Amino acid sequence: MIAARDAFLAAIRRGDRQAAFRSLDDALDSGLDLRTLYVDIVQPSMREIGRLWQANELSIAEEHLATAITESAMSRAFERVFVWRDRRTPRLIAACADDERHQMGLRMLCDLLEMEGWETIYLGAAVPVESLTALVAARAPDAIALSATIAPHVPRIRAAISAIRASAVAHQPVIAVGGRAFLTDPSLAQKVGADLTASDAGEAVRILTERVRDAGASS
Amino acid sequence: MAGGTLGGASASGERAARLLLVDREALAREVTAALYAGSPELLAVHGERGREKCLQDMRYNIEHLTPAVELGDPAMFAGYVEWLDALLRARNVATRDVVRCLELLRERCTVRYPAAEAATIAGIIDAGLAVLAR
Repeated sequence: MIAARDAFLAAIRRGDRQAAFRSLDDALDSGLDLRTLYVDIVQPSMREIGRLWQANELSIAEEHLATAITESAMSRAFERVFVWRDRRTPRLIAACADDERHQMGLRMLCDLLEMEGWETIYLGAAVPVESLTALVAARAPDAIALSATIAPHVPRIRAAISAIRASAVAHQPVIAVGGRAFLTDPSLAQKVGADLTASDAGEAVRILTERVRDAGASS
Repeated sequence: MAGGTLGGASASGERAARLLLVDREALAREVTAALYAGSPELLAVHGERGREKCLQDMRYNIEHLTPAVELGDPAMFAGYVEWLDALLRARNVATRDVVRCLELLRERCTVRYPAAEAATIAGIIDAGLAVLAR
């Protein structure tokens, strides 16, 4: 697994899409599951790319190239393990509120939940709060996942949560928050009004599954 | 939890955050001008492009200060300052210049704002300065 991570990181660092695809293909062929690919290979590689940019060892363009390649590689890996299902439940909506553009963590969460049988509605980056609230009202999800990487986006998550709580009266969804802003300070999740946070997509799948099941049992 | 009292949030914090949001550009320009007026050698070291980058960084600094002030969360700003200092050191900006920027920002807020709001902002900035004093 560490060899696979090193191979993937080296590939995205030099902007080599084919080598990145190859390293995840090899990892799947060797028997690793999607969760291990995402949590133990892709996520630490992307954190290292961020650190390399901070250390002035990668340019912004190179960092964006690494991100774009990683998103393609994730799509490809997901495609390889995808299974058709007639019925998918529970339902989750995932979004980055307002100006937030770091969407990859939510993408991982949605893919992993889909593998567990959930129906996920992935909105990606920069969703205006009013528009998100309207979609939540229309789709009545069991859970919502919101992500913030940098602190300036945290108050918008708080605004989104309070708008959702105010509008979804009949059916209160479980609300999860994640991203680097919450990783460095887990108590922030409670301050913005969320029900839970998690340190990575794998842990988020486990906690969300428990919480949504409990909410179902008590209603 | 919804709509209830949030952790360290306070009325003066929310008022101070609104002031910072409105005055971001003016504060960024004042701090950059004061920094370069007080340390003319910076222009020789970093050039005109360095001054522009300093102004842009001051906008980011205030953008990160604002939610920490609003939520009453000094650790949030301290974490940002630690990250920023490492980033700038990798780009040949000395820690003492980051310290000076934050001190100037605290001074400008004290001049501009009522005592309660200025004190709230100063408390958060000091948490950032404490990281750099280590």
